[in-house]
Amino acid sequence: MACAVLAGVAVTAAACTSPASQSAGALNFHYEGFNSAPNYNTWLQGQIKIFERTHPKVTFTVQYTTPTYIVQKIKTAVAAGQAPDIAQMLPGAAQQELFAAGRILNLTPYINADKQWESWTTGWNKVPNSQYKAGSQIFATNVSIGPMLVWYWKSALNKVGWQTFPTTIEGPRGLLALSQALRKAGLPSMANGLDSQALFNYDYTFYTLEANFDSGGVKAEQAINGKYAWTSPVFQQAVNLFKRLYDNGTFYAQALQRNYDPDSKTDFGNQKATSAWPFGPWMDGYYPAKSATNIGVARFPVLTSSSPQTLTASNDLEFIIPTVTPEQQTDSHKKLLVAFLKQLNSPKSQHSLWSNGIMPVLASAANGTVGNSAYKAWAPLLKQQIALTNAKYAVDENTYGPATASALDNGLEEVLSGKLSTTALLQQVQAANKQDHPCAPNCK
Amino acid sequence: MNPAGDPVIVADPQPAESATVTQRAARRTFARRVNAGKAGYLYVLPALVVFGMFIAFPFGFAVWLSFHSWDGFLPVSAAPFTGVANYRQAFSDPVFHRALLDTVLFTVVSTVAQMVIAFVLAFTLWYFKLRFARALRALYFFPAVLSMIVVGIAWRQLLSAGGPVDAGLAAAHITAVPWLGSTSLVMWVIIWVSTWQWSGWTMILYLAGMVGLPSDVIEAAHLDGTSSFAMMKSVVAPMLRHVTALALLLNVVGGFQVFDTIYVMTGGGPDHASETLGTYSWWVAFSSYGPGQLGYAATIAVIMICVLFVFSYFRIRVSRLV
Amino acid sequence: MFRSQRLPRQIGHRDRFGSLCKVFAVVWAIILLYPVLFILSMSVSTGNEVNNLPAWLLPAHLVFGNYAQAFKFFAGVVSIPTLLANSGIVTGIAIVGTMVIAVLVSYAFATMSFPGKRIVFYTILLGLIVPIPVMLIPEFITVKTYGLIGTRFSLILPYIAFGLPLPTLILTAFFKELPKELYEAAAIDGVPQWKVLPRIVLPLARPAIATCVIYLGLQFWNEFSLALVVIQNPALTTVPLGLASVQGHGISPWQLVAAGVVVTSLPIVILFLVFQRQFIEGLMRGSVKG
Repeated sequence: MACAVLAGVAVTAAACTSPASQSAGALNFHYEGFNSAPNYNTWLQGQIKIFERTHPKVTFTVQYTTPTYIVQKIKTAVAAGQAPDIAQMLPGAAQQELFAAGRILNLTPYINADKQWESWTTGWNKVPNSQYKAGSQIFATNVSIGPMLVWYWKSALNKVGWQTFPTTIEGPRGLLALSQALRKAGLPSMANGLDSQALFNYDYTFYTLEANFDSGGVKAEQAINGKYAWTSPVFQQAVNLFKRLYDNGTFYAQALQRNYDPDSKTDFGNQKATSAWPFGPWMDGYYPAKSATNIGVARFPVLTSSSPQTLTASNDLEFIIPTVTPEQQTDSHKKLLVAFLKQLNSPKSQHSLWSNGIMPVLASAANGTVGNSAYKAWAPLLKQQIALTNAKYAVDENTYGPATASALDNGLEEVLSGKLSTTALLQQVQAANKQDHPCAPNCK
Repeated sequence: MNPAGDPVIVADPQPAESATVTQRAARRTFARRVNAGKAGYLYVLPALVVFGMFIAFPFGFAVWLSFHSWDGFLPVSAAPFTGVANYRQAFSDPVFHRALLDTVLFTVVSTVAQMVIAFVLAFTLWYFKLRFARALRALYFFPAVLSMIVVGIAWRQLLSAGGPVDAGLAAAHITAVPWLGSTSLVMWVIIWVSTWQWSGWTMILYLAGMVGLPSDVIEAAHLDGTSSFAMMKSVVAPMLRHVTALALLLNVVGGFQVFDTIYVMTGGGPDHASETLGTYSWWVAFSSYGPGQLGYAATIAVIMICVLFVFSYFRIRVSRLV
Repeated sequence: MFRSQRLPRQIGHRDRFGSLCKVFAVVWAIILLYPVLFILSMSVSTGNEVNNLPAWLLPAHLVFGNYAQAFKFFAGVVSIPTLLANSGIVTGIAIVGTMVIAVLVSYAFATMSFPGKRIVFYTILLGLIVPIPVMLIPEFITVKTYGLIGTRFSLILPYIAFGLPLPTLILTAFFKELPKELYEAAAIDGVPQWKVLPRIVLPLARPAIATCVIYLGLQFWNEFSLALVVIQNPALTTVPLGLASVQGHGISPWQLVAAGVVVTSLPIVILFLVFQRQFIEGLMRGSVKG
């Protein structure tokens, strides 16, 4: 009986103590992120150590969740008047909303006042504006980019007589022709997990195709904001091209039912697809090292050789500083975290990213050897991807709006499966756009 | 040596406490004599306190929230009062209707399926002589021990195109089926996974009930030459009405609340085809498209809880489980 | 098993229904085993094969080293021993708390009468109906209002509240079934009223308590949604949360995750296997009597 009581006391004591003890004047920052991959973690912990050394009273507590749950977690916290001190977020509407409500820090004044930091943001023009800016105001730092690229098995293409991935869709050496050749040879085509709850279901493919008729996706951005009609020929052509590719068998069997994650990734790895889209540098190291030499990367083909060249990209690592609690709204707090963000953009930190097999946003930092041995084999591939990203392309404004994007994604699926006509789809999208912007399509 | 072999002990039979009317009455009278009034409250107080703090309070907050509109970013005190607008929205929202229908469909089908399977399994273990009955009993219950997230992920991997199930179908020359990608199939797959995981739980309830049945009645029926099917249907089933009532209650409540499995397997998709009230409320609150309508999400939750409460109240009263 | 040894064998009577039942029992057992074997098989596969297992589930190469590697892999985020310890502490304390309160409440319901008893009973049962995921934001705000964020009690106390209803149901029915002779004997022996519960009634309730403990253990060990939002300190991460956290962006070595799943499910599986007999007996003597 006494034993039970003692045990009970001991256990309750264990429940009460929270493991992190703090000395007076010490500051502990709560970091929340969704990328717990070993190489990323190595980089982050390294940066934290550097910062802690140069700022003795500061410590970080790092907490990871998954991409699926991080938005919920942060939204729940904010609703209760709480938030992590710094968060790694997914590009999306959540951040725009947080910023509009004044819950995350406006970084623009800090960056503008710091010439050195500003010089480190040169690569940011490869990231769609809406993913880190609201209008001209910056709310997130870009640390790594994720350009959307095609990955392909060189050996598979060789089998049907192609050495590199097609650069056009039409034409005798185009994507359509390649898909036909693969089908004749009994080989699978492009993995494109269209059934995905995450970012990749239809957006990237649609906007990439749309850019053929609208360089840089300018009209698409206008349409999303209610300033241009969704029923315009530009989008009709885009949807029709998407359907044409689908009917031609460019995407592998059951693309409509396959998920981006994990289906496309595993299918490509098991050679159940000869190519995969949209892949990018975040896939480096995902497959066995020996497969790295057999993998090629390319941009998604344009319609014809005279079509505009556009890059569909996203930021891969971005950080925000919530300003929810009173403590988080003090100047000293903001200054410290802003300093940390600046450090993450520094050439040294960017080089450390490269060293761990992650794509830096500062292209010049991608030099020397990749130190992390697990990723050495991927260095040539990473370099290729950086080169493809930094060539002179217009960057597609790829945004994740509210009802509009939802109507577009769901509608595209129905068009591809033949249940909906292009015209009907675009009318639905226009109607949804009106929900988001009642003045659409004539908003100023 | 009995040629039929020794009976397999599935669960040690207990002498049935035949509660006759007079004995029950005596117990009730006795109970009233034991203690009355204030002391009873002391025993009940801790439960009420904990309940009040962590269930009543949040529920009250949710009810309050359902009459307001809140985006979750501004302090909740600034949330504007919108009256019954959220409830009106629910009644005109096609996705809400779909979620409600799917919830009812899921609940009804999975409850019936689970109870039938559970009953048959329990009867089989109890009535027929099966080798390894004890191991089977543990095995049947085992999936309930696993986390719903693990179960969801395991089945999602199994049913993924190119996964083991499709590989098996291919070997049998059957075309692969888009288990989780088809809007018409997906709810049935979810029902299946839930049945797979929870049938054993209801089975244990039935088994416990069967083992407690008076053996003289069973033996008499058996000697009469009752077929096993008739035994199951006409003799055993009626005697287990109370178990059925309890199982019905628990399964319906659990069915209505289903969330983890669906969220992990499909997230409510494709295109809200596997949305239930729980997942829809979650989606409305946290959907990355558009500002969260936390008031509306709370409304959905409140509606769901009220429906369940009405059902449970009448269920408990009708079967006098108390 | 009801069949007494004295029943004559019915010669020549083919029990087709019986055969059907037995076949079904075997088929169901296989269906139940299949996904479990799938997870086990993933946990011993190589990275190449884990996403490509055939229908008979056996990988070409068995790698038992995954388990050791899993510990290292998890340690980069939250180590497996930490996860097990945290879940153990939270589950353990929550079970004890729930059982103490449930026993008190059930005893009162079963043996006492007081005004408002019925209302209180239904109120407690209301906890059964309120699901956690849907009440996440209100619950989080509640927990924060009480200042519990950052401690383990942010999980333990809500768990107790949500765990109360079913044990209350089971124990109330159980206490009601106890023969009145028990109480009469206690009265004759001069046992004071408040000692009857711990001294006399409780020792008899072991099977019912075992049932409740297993039920609660399952519920608390596997709970995810509340833990997700409420745990702010990674050192307090529980098992389900930890399993989710290791699935980093872009890189999910399923074979290691599967190994982690197996290891972190073991405690609850062992708990069940050890106590399954009491579990069933507890249910038998509990509310399932006719």
